[in-house]
Amino acid sequence: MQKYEKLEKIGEGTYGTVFKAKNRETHEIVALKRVRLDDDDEGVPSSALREICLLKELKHKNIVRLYDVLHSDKKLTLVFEHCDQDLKKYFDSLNGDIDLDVVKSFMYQLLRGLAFCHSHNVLHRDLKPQNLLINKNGELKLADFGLARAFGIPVKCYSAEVVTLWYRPPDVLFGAKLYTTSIDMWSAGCIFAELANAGRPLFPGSDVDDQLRRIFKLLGTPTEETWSGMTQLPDYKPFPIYQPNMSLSQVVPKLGNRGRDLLQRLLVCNPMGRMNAEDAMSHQYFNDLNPAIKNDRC
Amino acid sequence: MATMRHATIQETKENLHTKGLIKPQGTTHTATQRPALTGLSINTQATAPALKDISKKCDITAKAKDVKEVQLVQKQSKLDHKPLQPRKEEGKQQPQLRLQSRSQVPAPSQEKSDITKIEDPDKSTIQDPLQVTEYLKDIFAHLRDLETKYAIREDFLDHHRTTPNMRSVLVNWLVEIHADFEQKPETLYLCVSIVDRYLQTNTLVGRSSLQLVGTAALLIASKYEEMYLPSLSDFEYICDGAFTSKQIIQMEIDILKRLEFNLGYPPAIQFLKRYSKVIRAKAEHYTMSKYFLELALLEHTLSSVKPSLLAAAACCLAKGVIDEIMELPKIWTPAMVHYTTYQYQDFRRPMIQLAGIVAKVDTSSFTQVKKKYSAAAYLKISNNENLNGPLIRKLASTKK
Repeated sequence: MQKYEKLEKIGEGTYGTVFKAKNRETHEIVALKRVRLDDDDEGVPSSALREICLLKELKHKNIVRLYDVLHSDKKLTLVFEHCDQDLKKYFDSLNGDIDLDVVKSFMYQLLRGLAFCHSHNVLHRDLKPQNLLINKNGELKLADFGLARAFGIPVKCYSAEVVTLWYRPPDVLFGAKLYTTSIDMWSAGCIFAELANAGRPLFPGSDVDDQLRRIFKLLGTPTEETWSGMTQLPDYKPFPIYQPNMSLSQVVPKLGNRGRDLLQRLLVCNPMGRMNAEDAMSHQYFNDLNPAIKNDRC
Repeated sequence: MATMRHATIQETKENLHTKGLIKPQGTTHTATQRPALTGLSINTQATAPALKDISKKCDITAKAKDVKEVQLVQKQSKLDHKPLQPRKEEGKQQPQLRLQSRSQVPAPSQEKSDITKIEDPDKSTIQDPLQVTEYLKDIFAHLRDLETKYAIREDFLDHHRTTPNMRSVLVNWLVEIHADFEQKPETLYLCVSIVDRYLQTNTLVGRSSLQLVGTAALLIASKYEEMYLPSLSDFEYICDGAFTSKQIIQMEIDILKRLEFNLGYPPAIQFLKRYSKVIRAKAEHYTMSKYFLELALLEHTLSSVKPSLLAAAACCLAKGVIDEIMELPKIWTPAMVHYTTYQYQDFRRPMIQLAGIVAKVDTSSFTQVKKKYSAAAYLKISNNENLNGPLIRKLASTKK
């Protein structure tokens, strides 16, 4: 890879190692994601294939830009725009305190990137702080589309093995294979609460059961009345009936009424009741968002 | 970099596998047989059909490995569907379509395109999240952009080593393999569009490598669309030993590079589903439209017709055939014009072409689509008497 000088390893994506690198000519800093292509493998991994294809159609300020794909003998190299850090690392640097304007700005940008994906018939399916990149200008970008896929209308069955446990919605935890944009909206809700708490995960479950229990303890156990069809889901099993015993004001004390209202509309167990990204962007919570951020479209 | 770029598509190896391409088998094959492909004859006389009794290996690998998962998916999907939407899975038992009770053609109206008077087809499903109503407009606008951006040229097979007949042989085979793999309709459309777009960039593909292109295109389309992939050895197997898996994955990367990883070309069925909802199609209408669209895949002159336009042609023609409406413009109501953005005149020409294909289907040597749609799962729609009726006859004899 002569064009780029590798600087340091940044991390591991869904299917490959990510390096920080410098373009030898322009000195531009980029991120390189390397995908090995071994003869005894099945060719280009479908996760890499989808990530490349989908990102090529998703050019937006809040979505990480794929500049180029290089092919050499035994590997594919994806050349991405470089961001300084991911949201997880940003949380780690905070010492438990976050500016509420930053929360609002990040949340808005997350929703805007997501609305763009959804209106271009793409589901991300793996939203979590590690997959949200931020740069020095306070911009947030959706990254790692290794689990993403394009959807048709009406939506068909897709894999239930998606989304990292802590950010996975109850319908998918119950094994639903038929889901739509609402799958990402649940994750967005979890990330919103985590932002407001300066990086404390909302539902850090240890397994699927524990995950569902934590969710139901906070939001109350859904019933067929509140969520028609729940008991028919492939992996449904009954849980104790928890009443919502804590109000969201205890869970996200710093967020304020409007923020809590938005959170409550995202964290809805029944996928049909979950707010979509476009509507969430118009929520009152963002009324006083810095206009520079609001108007800064792609 | 780019070491293998042209290596795989040289015609110099032409003689290495004369059996490489595909011969349509008139013979029906049982469920335990692989579609047998040997020796593509191009414009030739007597090619020995050489129906190889393909060993059961592929079926064993495909079935044994996938059958459980597939069954699981089918089972679960039915459950999944239940709470959300009373619908069966696409392409399995029944067409995936919201069946409408009313299907009469609304009277042709004088009321121009006054949208306030057009019934909103999405009103009844606005609460159904699977219809993604809130993003419908954006998504279809995006799909229309994509079909324009990655359009296939009308002359893509001119001066090409692949003849139209060779291409039809390949597509006919792909239809069969796709059905055997029990894949989604979208995968087939994507696969054929990949083949066409690749042929458009590479005029050197001919007899010796066309099947390899088709196989790699199906591999790519499967990776993009399908939840469960057939294994590489299954793909190797369907070529009947003509190509190694290494050649297949080399062709895969060559295709991806030449198409610059742009696989967003929308399948016509995406538009068909939308139009079928607006026109209140019944299962028969929808299945017949799909039949037309798959027949169209066999015909290279329709490759360059935009999927959104071809879907309109198929939708209108199927409605006319089934409901025995001779005056087709009546079908294309202001609502249809509004939601498809197409006037009847816009798709009249490809529709006449479709009718021409339908009229000749019984004498065609590319039989897989007709055969597939004669199954009960497809409502035996290709045996529908009206397909030999006056409307098709009239259209097929129309000057284009």
